[in-house]
Amino acid sequence: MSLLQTLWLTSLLLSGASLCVVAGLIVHRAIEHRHRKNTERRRRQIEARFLGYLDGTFDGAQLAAAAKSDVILATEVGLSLADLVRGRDYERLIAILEAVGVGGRLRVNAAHGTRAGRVVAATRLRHFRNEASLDTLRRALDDRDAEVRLAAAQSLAEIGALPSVPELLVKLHVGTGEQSQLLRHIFRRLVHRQRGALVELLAGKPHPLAKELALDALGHSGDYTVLAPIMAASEAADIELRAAAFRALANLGHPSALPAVTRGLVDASWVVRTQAAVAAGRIGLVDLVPQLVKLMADPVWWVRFRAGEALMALGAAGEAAVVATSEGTPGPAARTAQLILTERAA
Amino acid sequence: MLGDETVRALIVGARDFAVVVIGVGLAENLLYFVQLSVAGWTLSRHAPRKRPATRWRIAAEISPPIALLVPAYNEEATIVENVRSLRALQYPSFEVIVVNDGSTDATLPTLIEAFDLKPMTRGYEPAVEHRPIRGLYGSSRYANLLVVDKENGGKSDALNAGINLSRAPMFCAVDADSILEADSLLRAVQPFVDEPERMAAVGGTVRVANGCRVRAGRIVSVALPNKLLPLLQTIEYLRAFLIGRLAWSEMQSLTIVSGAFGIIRRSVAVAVGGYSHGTVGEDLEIIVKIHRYMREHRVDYAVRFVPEPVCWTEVPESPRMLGRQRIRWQRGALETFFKHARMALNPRYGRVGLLAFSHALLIDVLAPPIEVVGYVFIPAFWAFGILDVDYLVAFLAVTFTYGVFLSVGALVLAEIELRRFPRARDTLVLAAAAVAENFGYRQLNNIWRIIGLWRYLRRTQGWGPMKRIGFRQA
Repeated sequence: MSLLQTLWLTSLLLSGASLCVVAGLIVHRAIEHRHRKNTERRRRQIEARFLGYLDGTFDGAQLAAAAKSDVILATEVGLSLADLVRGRDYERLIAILEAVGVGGRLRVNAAHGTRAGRVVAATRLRHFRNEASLDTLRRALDDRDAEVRLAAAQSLAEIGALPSVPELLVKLHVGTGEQSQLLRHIFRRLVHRQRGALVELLAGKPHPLAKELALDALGHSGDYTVLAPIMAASEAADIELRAAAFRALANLGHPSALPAVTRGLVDASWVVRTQAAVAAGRIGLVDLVPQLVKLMADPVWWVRFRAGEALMALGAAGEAAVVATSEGTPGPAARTAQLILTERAA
Repeated sequence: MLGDETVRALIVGARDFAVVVIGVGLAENLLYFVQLSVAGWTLSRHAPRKRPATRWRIAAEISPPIALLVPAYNEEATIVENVRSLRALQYPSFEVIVVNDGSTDATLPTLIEAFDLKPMTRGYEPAVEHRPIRGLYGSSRYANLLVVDKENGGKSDALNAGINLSRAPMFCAVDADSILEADSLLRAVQPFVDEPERMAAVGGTVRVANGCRVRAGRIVSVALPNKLLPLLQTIEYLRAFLIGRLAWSEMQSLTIVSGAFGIIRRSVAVAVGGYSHGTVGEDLEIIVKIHRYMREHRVDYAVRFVPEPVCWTEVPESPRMLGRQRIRWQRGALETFFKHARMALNPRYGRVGLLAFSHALLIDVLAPPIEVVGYVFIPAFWAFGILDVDYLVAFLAVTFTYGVFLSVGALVLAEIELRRFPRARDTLVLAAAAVAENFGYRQLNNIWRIIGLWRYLRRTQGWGPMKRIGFRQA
């Protein structure tokens, strides 16, 4: 057979095979469609039983028996309800789900399921706050897949059972690959239990991302005792760290950050100057009105704009300064001031 | 009568010609086959799935603010519905910026009336160039909506105005005739959450909305178009997004983030000078510019495609409108290819230069004219006894039967991994369309591509009239 004939026959074989596969899939879908009504009926039935159990009109033993006969459906329905109920109802629901084997199934899936299955199981295990689930979640922190590790860390964060900060940094590969913004969520959750460890991070020499996470978490702590280490971080060599420190100071909103913010307004990096201006406005540092007015002539538009916004946030003194700048010598500062004023007036 | 020598020369010439035509067709099919395989492998590992609601709630807490840029030119039929749909998206922090690019219809008055807009001002950094802005409009009732009225300058010019006025770190370019799924932004932003430092741009899937039922700016019932051309485009979009873009993304060579729905980091767009003026393929060009800039400045970056976020768009229903669109796309692709020709096959630009540009050279430049010439001459040569039947069947294989395999293959992949169509009957209709598109529609597309090539050489441009039919209401 010539090459040209082979081309033709191969194309016929491939297109014929693809048509056969698609025909099979269509038949499979049609059969599945016929079963869907039945599944929907069973779903409604078990949903009604769960709701009946919660409002005391359906017996727990009967529900357990029904759920055990279709654990997959019971898992879906039960965990959907778990996202909606709170308090004693939530505890009763989780207890019965554990009793019918949903927790056990999730623990097996979290350890041995497919990648997608492990992520889902690790996320759902946050409902099952027993030692077996905690063990599974802790082991999942060593999973080969980053998404599974993050899902497990999130669940442990919600339960309040995260490992120590240094261990977490290693397990989540912070500084050695992992960059996800979910890390912020996780670190914010551990700040109240491990504040000291986060402060130590700032003093040590971990990866800059670890320090950024610590600054972000401490900024959300609402605890003014962490001001000093954050202010020290605002003098770091790394631009991103300095900017993160000013974001944290802005979130804490304590006026004793004045010296650091004053220094930040004349930082060599425009990114840092912008964050320092935002912090001045958010903290309400009226003493910095003259410096913010100067910043309205900054070469970078975003710095000028944020300085103007900060002045407007400082009340009468800041507003008067913006008005005076708008009426002063024509230039970038006056233009920014005029824009800020017209924008506010509109 | 021709002499023996002339006949022999004619036969040899015809065979060489046929070998070139079949060779180009085969190369084209092989490329698509590689893409199909890569897409299949990727989907089997990372099939998009419905995540637990809590995962999305957590993602929402840490997701960056986004400005949705909606360039609008004569979009009075669909603009209000589109803006309503965009404002109803599930996302923690976003602003809709509609840029009326000097429309000659009632786009602006329609918006003003529907959203009770009043003139307003907003300071902005003139970071990228665009035609003058005539006015800004906002409403106290719709706080996250800004309407920019500017002089006509084309879609790229309108997007640049939107970039300047946006204050979010990301912007999402959305076509005014499109509807986004409620959670599409949350899903599409995931790569920016996963790799906040590296991610430069992310594209999502665009699906055909013709035939679907729309209520209050939402798709309430997914159905196939009941007209032939939109149906054929449904298969085409499925193949282009599910196979093409997913494969390119996986090979780190994605050169297009759809203008209908794509998120770009604002600072990166500003660094490359925004969308280029005088181009019709602005969505392709800006991504190529980003690749070029990042590689020339040795910045670690990524451009990704996420298969699940869905944007629904109304596709042309008449051959005339479809032809215009395809001619414009072809011109856009060629403009970008030749504008950045120094990237082609240049190792400095990595896989983008080596793979994506080779692909563009083959698919956009060489294949269409060669295939069309093949349709005329190979059957003629066979009819006159100059070529063996083997050449004819091999030509039919590379132009028809391999095409059927690839189209149906895409459908098989979609059915196994994504299940995008609700009924078995839909899959059956699409399978028929996947076969049918190779007989007529493919050839029509090639002709439009050749016209696009011709128009590119003559350099004519503009938005081009695109009649909107409006969505079918539930």
